[in-house]
Amino acid sequence: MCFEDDGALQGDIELVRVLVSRDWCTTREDGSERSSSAAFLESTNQASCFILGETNLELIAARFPDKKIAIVTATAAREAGFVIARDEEGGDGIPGHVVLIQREARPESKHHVRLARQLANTARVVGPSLSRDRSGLQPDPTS
Amino acid sequence: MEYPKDIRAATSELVPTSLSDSAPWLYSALSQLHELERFGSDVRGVGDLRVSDNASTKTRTLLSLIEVDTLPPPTLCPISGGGVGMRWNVGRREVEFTTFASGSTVMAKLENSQLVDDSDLPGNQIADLNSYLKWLVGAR
Repeated sequence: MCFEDDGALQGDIELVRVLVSRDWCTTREDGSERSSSAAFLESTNQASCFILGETNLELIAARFPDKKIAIVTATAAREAGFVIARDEEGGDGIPGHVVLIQREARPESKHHVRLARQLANTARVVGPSLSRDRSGLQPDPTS
Repeated sequence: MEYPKDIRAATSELVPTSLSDSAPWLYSALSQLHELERFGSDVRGVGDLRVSDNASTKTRTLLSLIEVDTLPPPTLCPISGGGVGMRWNVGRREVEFTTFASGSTVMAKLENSQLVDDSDLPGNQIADLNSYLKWLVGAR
């Protein structure tokens, strides 16, 4: 499938990556959590995310119960070499689905992993309870 | 220690039984890999978390090449699209192996979450992964 960069997705627009593996985040020395490069890597170079402002967090919570999410900005994704392409069909009924496609680094190279780590380091990890209280998009109190 | 027969069968080709018996970290790694292989699924909205044959074989090969026997258990996780991630933490140091669906692998050393060094391991090239792991545990 051919995806096109949506140039309107810029700046502080926030993107949600569902951390379906608990090992897609790790704990810092101070006890806070950060997402790992693994969370934003994709062997097919199409990492699925949802646009926070367009998606339905209740649907995400229902589909992925008890899973944390990582939130990054469009700016951070673009600075890490990704373009952002809409893919409504890929969300399987959850709106606001996009894919991040790495265009700066050769796929499966160390540069590719570095840029995924760069993006992961900008993410804030949020606990699953946020979907029950959208106003509570704050860092997980356990992190 | 007696291991489940299916794990023994899954690991016997590349990892000598004597090593898995004597290295708890290896048993942990192989158990986690087995779980990923067994339960990985295609998750719409996230990615395909089924481990590819190439990634599975490469991960076992990497494990079989490790000569540092004082490692802590690693953490294994899926890489969307068919890959496997493997990470060791010792204090502020981390070593990551990222194996993609094709079998290509990238190694990285991190300290305080900052990159210290990284390396591509394309195809079946055998690299000095042991130098990374010796650095992790502070050995020379």
